[in-house]
Amino acid sequence: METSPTLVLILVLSLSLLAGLLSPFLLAQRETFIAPTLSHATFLGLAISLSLFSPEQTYYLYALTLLITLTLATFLSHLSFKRHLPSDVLMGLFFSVSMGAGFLIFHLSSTNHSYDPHHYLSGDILLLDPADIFLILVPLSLVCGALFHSFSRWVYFVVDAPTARAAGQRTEIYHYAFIILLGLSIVSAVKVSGIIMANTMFLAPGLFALKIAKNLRGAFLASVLFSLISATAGLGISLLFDTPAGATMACFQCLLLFAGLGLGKRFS
Amino acid sequence: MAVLTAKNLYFSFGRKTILEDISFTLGVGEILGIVGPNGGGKSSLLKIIVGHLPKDRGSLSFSGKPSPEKGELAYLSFEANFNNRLPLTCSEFISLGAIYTQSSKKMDIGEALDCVDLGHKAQTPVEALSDGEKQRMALARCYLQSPRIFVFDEPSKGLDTAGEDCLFEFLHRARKRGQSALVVDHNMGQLLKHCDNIICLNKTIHWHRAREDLREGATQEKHYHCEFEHGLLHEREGPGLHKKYRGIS
Repeated sequence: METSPTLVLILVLSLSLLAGLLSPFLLAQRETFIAPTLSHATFLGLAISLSLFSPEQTYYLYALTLLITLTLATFLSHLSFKRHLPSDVLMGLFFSVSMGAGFLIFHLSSTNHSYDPHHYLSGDILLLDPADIFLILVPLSLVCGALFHSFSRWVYFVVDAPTARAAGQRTEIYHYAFIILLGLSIVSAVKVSGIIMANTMFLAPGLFALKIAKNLRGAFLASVLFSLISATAGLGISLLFDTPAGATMACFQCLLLFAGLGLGKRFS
Repeated sequence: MAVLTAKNLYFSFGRKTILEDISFTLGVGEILGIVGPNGGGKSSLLKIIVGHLPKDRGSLSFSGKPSPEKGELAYLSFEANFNNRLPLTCSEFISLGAIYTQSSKKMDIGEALDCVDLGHKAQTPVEALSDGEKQRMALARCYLQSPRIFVFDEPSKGLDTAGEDCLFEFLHRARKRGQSALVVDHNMGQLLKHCDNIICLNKTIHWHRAREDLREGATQEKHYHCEFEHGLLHEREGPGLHKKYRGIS
């Protein structure tokens, strides 16, 4: 089935809006490794899901991948919150074990031999179907709802969690909720940007915004604009030169990031 | 009526006892100082009160209730190296205090900034402030929260003399509004000057008496050994004390 360019554009715009909203919080929390860790956990979820369902069964595939990723994310979140192990060590372990286990399952599974895992590692817009629009709207609505409903509380949690907790804020809920929203977003991004490239999508806008913005409102505006512009332009370039979408978007975002930071430094 | 009552609190870390049988009350508008040596359990006690650490035994009561209401406690710790990766201005940072405000009156951010002499820095990015200014800004955030109890762990750390004056002026204003404060600090001179009562805390040893007791050399020697205690002894007994301690005749 031919993938419609309009469908791809809508998905990329939705995803980049999602990434632009989450990215400043992700970077500000000093736990940037959580994004690659979750995206690699998604690979394990996908491997298990693809051993049971075909890629055309979008909803089943999404639901099981999401379930596995969120279970791993919640477990990781619990361990890092309770500080049983240093979070960098923990994420390093998750990072490699989930990828390794994913490849093993891909290798051992008899049903998915015809699917190349590389499609999910670097993204493939040919895998997209109209059901993906619904699947991206779910996390987008949840993230927008959570942020707009209690934006100040999210900021308080990120800036000074101990004081927020003493004032009566349930900081553990924010900790778990953020990782779950991020996991949900990354699972939704996998077909477009790929597991490896999803990291750039969730990290670059925040880095750009936190470096150039002078206040909070400016930071979120810069992050969302950077994300929308860079991802759309990256997609355009990939269509123009017939290159892999996820890889092209990631490279273009990085290029734009360093150009933007360089220009920002020069004119500041 | 007491805004905070601690009864027979116990806390241990692994097998090590940190706090044993701690009881005290904090009245309305009272400033209660807590002094003690490093490792004496002062910060642990505050963390138990604000809910960061679980107590092993004993009870806490906040105006008769077992747990504080939202915004009832405002906590400020010297450890509070707040995360300034988000590019907040001073105003944006201080406005966070209003999320859990206990006051029905709409507090003005400018008023809170003026209270700590940072009125001219409302739009300055937080990361551009010095450590002392950040500490004062955190005080302004507490002011905007307008809690029933301020819980301050070494609030004068990193402050210059003007900053210390600003801190204790802040506490006096709070007392006038009927707010109470628990203050852990090593600045004995300021505590003796400004606190209504002082607790000495050294793991299992604690007492709660009139602050004049702290000037008793024998009490200090028994319970509390650290630099400011020696400073006080020197102040009271003159240069002869140094010789006495070192066995110089």
